[in-house]
Amino acid sequence: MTKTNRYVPVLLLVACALTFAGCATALAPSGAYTDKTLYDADLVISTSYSVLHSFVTFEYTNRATLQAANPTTAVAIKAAADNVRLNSRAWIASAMALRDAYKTNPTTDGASKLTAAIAILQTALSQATQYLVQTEPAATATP
Amino acid sequence: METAALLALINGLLGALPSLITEVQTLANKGEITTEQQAEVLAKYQALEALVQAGPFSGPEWKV
Repeated sequence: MTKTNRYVPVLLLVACALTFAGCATALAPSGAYTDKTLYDADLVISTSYSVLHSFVTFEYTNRATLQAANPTTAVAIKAAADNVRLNSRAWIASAMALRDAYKTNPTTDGASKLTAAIAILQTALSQATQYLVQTEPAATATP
Repeated sequence: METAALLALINGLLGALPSLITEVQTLANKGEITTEQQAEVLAKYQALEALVQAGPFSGPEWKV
């Protein structure tokens, strides 16, 4: 596997998780969950912090390299990372609060609000994953 | 890419892997989410809850 695509399998797994979270799969009886909505929420929320943290760390650590490789792209990546820096705490906190509210009182309205919060996280994860795939080759291009 | 950056990225992605593997295993199990997989997701979520309370957004990488 070349340097330029060594993260692709991992990032494809991220895409799989984002794609399949929410599919109509069944929970095995006597497990920790009895509600698929709650399971999906916990899966996405717990995955989101790891990926978003990886993204902002990648941008922070490689800022100079990215700037030297492609200034225009570096500006776009910095903007995306700053958006994550400014909002991810609120995104995750909101999702966790709505998750807790839904767990306490599993109504249709609560499920809708939780799903909307999860969708915001999934959008951020998709963007972060996209930038990691696109920019990792540039960051490794320097000797 | 600097070694530190590479390690940070790999560590972060590895942190996400258990949840991702859980999803892949679910697909392999023809759609059923096993009790073990459910326990893994719950444990990961509870770990994040503890992390959030400890203030995980305070490092230099989180500063705009």
